[in-house]
Amino acid sequence: MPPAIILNTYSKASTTGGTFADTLTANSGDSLSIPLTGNNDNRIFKMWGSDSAHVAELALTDSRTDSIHDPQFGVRSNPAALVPGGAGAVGSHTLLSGPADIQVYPGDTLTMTVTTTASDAILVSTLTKYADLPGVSGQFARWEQVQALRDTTIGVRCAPVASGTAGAYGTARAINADDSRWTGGKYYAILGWTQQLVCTTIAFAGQAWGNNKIGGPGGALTLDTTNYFVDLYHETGIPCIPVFNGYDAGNVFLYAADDTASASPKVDVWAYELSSNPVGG
Amino acid sequence: MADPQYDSLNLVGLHEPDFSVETDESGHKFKVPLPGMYRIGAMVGGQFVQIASVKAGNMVDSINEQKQGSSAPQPVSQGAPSEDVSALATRIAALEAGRKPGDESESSGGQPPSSEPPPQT
Repeated sequence: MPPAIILNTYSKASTTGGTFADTLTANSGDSLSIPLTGNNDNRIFKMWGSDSAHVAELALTDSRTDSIHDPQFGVRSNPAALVPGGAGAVGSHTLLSGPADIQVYPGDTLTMTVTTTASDAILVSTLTKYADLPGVSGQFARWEQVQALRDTTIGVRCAPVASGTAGAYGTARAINADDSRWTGGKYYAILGWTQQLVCTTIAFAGQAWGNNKIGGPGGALTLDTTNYFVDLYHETGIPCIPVFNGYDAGNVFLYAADDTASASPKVDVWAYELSSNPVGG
Repeated sequence: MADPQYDSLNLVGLHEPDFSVETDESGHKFKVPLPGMYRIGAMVGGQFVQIASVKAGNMVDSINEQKQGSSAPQPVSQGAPSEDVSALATRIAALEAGRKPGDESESSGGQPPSSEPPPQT
């Protein structure tokens, strides 16, 4: 069974406000539940988020104390939403980044409560790596495979728009909707992306990847994302560079989620054209 | 030696709308308006110098909610958070035309925002 890295995002558009008074819900297609896995080597290893207008605090809890210390406040962390540059100007703040991680177990359900100011929008995204996730056989390559089969380099515009409900994913944007130069029959490895405006989360999903999301933060503090998936591979050792066939471009989608409604980060996807499929299948 | 010729500045805001190009079922492209950005800056010698910019999405929503939630007319003052973005755009246009901000009438808030791009800095 293959390893996998999955992106999930949790949000609330208009908070009640108060001390851990609001609970985040999973965005469409995402889940707070830990899936059934072949072993217990499942780890949340990246987490980022943003509050739209004020400082905020997150409490991440898990019913299992083998994972998170206690179910009262669990792991508390702060998206420093007012720095640098002021509220709404940064896009995302790192809450967790390796080598630290949070081990989670199959069947557990995470709970995210937040302290915010009333009427704020807040969202948090996580990357979880699974050593053995049955059912997923996505087309993900290693950097060495991509390098060995590299043909040309391409950058392609795709302009996903975040939802009119702050924090939620916007409409899926096909990777060929704004720039259709992908060649049918050719394989492409997505190395990363650049963007014009900050945005809390940029996500990729498609049939080639089991319709699970993978992606990263798009905030000002982490905008060096041209080689995001390559860096992720080097950090984890898990093949996580997304590969797809040009014929399938209409089924490869980008999503944007942001603490501001209808944000439009204008993404340019950075990819290698490959001479053949690096991962078979 | 500092040049004192621009020692009195007006703080202005500029709403810069955005759009997304979508495709309908028949393959025709059409533009969907987006909130875009709201830029805050000062007019220096007729040039807009940006101090900060924020995404306009939540702000436009808040303004609309305020409009819907209050039947009483809102006071309009320069730089106030409740000021309509179109009023500020009109104010900028007046500044660029060389008029003093006080010359414009309060009724200008109902006019559509300027479609001109922001001055380049």
